[in-house]
Amino acid sequence: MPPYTIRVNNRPRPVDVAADTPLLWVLRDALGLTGTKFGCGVGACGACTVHVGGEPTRSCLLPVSAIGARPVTTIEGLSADPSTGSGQAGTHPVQRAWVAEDVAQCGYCQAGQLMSAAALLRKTPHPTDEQIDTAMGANLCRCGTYQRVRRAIHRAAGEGR
Amino acid sequence: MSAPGRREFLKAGAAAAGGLLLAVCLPSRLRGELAGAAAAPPADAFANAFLRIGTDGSITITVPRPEIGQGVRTALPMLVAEELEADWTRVRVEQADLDPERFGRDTQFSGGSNSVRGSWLPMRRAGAAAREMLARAAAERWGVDAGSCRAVRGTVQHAASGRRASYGELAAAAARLPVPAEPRLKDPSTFTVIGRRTRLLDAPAIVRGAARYGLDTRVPGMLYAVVERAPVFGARVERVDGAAALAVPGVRGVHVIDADAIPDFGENNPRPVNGVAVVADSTWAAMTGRRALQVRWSGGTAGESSERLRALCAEAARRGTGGVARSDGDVERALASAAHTLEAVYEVPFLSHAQMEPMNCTARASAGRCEVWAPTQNPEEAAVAVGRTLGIAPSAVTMHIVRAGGGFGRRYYSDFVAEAALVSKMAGAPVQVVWTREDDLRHGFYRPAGYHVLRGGVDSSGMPVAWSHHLVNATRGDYLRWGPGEPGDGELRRDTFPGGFIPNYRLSHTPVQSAVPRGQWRAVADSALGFVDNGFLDELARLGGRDPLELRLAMLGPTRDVPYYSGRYNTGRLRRVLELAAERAGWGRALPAGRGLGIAACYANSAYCAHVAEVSVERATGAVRVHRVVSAIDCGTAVNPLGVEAQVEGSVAQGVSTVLHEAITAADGRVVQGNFHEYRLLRIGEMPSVEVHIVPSSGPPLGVGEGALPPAAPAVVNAIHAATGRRVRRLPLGTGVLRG
Repeated sequence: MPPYTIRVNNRPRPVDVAADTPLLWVLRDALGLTGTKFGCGVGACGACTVHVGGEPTRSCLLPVSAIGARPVTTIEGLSADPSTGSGQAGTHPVQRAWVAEDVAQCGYCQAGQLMSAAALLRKTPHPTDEQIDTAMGANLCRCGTYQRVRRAIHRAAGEGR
Repeated sequence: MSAPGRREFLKAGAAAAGGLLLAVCLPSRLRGELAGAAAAPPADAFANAFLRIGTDGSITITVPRPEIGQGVRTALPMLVAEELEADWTRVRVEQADLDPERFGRDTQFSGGSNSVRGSWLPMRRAGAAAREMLARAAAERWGVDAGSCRAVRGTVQHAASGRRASYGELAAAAARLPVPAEPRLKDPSTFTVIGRRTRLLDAPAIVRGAARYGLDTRVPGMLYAVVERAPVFGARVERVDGAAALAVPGVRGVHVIDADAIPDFGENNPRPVNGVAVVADSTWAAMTGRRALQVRWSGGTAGESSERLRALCAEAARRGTGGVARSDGDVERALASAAHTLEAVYEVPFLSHAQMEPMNCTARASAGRCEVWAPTQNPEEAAVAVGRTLGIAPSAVTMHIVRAGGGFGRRYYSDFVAEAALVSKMAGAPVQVVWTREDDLRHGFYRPAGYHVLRGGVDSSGMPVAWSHHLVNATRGDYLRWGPGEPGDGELRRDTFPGGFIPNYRLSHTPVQSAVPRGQWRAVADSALGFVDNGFLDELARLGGRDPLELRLAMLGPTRDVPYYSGRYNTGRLRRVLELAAERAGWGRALPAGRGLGIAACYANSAYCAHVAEVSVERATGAVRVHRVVSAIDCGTAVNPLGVEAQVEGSVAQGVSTVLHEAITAADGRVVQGNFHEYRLLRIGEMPSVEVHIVPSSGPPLGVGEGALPPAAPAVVNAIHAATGRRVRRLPLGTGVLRG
């Protein structure tokens, strides 16, 4: 198997996996970064959302061989990303807002929700409800936390002001 | 107010009744709950079954029940902390393994909206006992009367002398004192933790991606497996060619799961299905290997389909009226003399739980033992299933209860746990069995589909005088092999409103056979009955020219307790949630054309809940938009109001989702839907704003995990009628059904 070196949360990580291995399983099985979740495997639920080259990306569909030099940020690295967080775990504005609004129920989808929300706020610092619905429309939550997701995004936007 | 029927979601159904609960808990209380736990780490100076106090004053509260998103890892520690007078900011939580010796049997499941109710007294007692012992330790140290010492926020204080000592300082001495047999519980008026809006203790871990779910279990030497399961209901493996799978780098083995050879687990505990496991070094290698498998299947019920089942139900409904589950008065005579009558067929589909974390389990089987890490709702039955599968005693199974990414009833069954144990045994290594979403959607235990024939009549004043509800369906009890029971056992609710409020009232059931696996799904039978009863009642209200709210209130009449299985419910409490939701939603106000309000209410799953939905329907496309849902719930004492609101919001989301999207169908003996593009769930853009009003109560807590679901779908359906004049009687609403 060809070795790859991918940049994850600001660290180069050599991995020895098959070329078609989706980034999701590289993160979870090879690198032990289990914060990124498996939900559907077909890009239909958003639970596996990470940032690749700064863009929200479904890691279950992205083969490791297609990542190249683009940096990968996962939920574990969200607040350590100098462009978005303070460097301390859990301190990104969306993470703080998610705790403040008590968004999670089971919590399983929330890493993906947070990564999508962080990407939204980077491009649209003060989104309307409609913009939130569009940007977050591909992130499913079976527990039905959507109302609090919306509130938390508005709160995070307010903090960033 | 016990859960109805036997072998319901809640296996210890009767334990929900207060008196019985006490009886169930007393033996375990004496044995384990208050006694010192043997295995307390040295730093913990004081311990009982539910809490430990460190010499540094740290408080560790043990949660015996599975966390599936209902918030038990916050709400249950609140019960202990309240009575202990603990400093909430110093509380840490740990998840217990399955341990019937320590906690008692039938106390460690999450189901039937029972977690808070069932732990309400035992966990408070544990906190109260510790508080009394700490106060006595302080009193002895200071040579004062124990009654003059007061516990305040992690300290014991003696007001007269101004002395105080922290729990950490007192813990070791307290641990040597006798355990009080009847610790005094706090008066609810003095509660400072219970009833306070409290954020999830696990939230910081969740937002960092650090909370560990079933799939995040990592065990040294662990392998990963995926299983190709019988595509047709009941099919068997005839031949496997695993050569190509084994040629995939990383694949370690291919193993046939002969589920038919596994001994029975008993009723309500279905076995795994036949399959072929591919075991590998990584999840992806296992998935790749599985795609290369060649399996020939034989047998099974290839003729099964939703179409066949629907035709069968319709035919059975034409042929007879079924076995009678309840009969008051004379329905036929009342219908004949009613001023107006109506007949309608309501239909609900099979539903999948579709919890976000696909099913999975990690197991390490070794000689005569098995260690399991299971995201289960039902660890005790899971240990039985593992024991039977491996031919070992349940006590030889170490069951770690792992946080689950949603449950909704799917994880109450133990097929996935037994399967992982068997695969581990065959592989000779610790194995994590990972279900793909397709595996999860196609190998569930679905909420039973139902074909409901409703006939009703109203008198000249518009009051319902006759009601007949004939349900034809394949029951879950039949699939789960419950054995003989009353007609409609587990599918009909004898005592649910409007039962008992219409003089001529009949419930009946005709069973049909189906190969589609069935099981409980959030709110169980009420998930369907809430829709049918509230929808048809709305129809009768309009038939008789009455306002649907006003009619319900008139039917409920004066406040009184009425029978509900082995318990009772109170009509005034049901009335109160109806009135509260209606008032806050502005019931009766004028709305623009194409917009409407709908109301529905239930006493079900141990909660009183009413919703008013505000809906608009776009004429050209028939697209439904649910703008707002105003909810009122009476769940007794709301231990964590923030958590109660979350459960109501989630129930509304799930209810709306069932109206708009959800259906499992079968064709050619298989489940059709494989992933979320086929089994659609509600998305954020479809989420109404939900406003939750909690009726103040100092009574014992009821349940909140399910009770808000049954009235959600009918509130929406009734609002659609108000908006359009069109009645939705079949779920889900197909695209364009309401067009034009």
